[in-house]
Amino acid sequence: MNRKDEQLISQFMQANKHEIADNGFSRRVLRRLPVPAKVWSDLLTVICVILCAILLYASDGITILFQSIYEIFQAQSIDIINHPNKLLTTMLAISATICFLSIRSAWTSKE
Amino acid sequence: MSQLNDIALVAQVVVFGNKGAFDTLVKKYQSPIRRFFLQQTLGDEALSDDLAQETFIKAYTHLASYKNLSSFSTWLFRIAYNVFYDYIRNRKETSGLEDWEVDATHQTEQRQIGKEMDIYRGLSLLKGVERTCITLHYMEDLPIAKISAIVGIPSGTVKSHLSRGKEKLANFLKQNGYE
Repeated sequence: MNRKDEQLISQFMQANKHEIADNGFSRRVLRRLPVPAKVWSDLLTVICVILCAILLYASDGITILFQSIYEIFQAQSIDIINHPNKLLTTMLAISATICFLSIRSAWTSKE
Repeated sequence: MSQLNDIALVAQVVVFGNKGAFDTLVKKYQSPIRRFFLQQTLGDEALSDDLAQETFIKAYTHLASYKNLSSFSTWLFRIAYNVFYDYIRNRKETSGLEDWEVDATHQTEQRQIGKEMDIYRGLSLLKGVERTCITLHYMEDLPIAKISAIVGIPSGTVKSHLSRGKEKLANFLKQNGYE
């Protein structure tokens, strides 16, 4: 294999090197791309949330929910008035929960 | 610079699922990948496009495994090479023919399509792996180290295939008045 042969092959190959026009190829590829699993899970979450909201509304759950929350607060308020040291315990418990949730969410996003 | 752009586009696809970024990658590499398949299939355009589509779909589904150890184009050519040899292997299994017989059958079919095209006639004289090495080296201007990574064989073996391929091609060109 001499230099002349090398040049001959190189010229021949370069002369036959053509750019191929896209002509809709990339569009066809994009159309065939699989839908990622995350999209399906997100879709399922949305459907479940909508179903729950409908059920909650249909069974008058919103009224029951607000009534329960109101009763809990009312009972707690009476309890705190009667036993003031419980207020501090409640505040500490809430603060600890918030701290725990923040640390856990920061740790998860870091991973 | 181009490599950095590719990495940025890959990151957009992997992290944000940005299909527009993948579209940019397909548009950028469709020509060399389709040209690679055209040369391996000796001019079968429909088959080349099918194999090229499969290559890009495989690249999309495995994009998260791209570790930036090689350039994106080398990684893509490696997938293309595997797709082509999976196709050859499947053909061999369904037809019950040996490697060289599959190649010969394919060449006979393609000779009808591309009989006036000297490039395919010339390439049809080479063995599959010789054709891959020659086209990657002379058409895609890839160095031996990259061809070695794509084909998955040592650099010394690539050099041997290139040498044998060049000899056959040079003889073909001389016999056909290209001197």
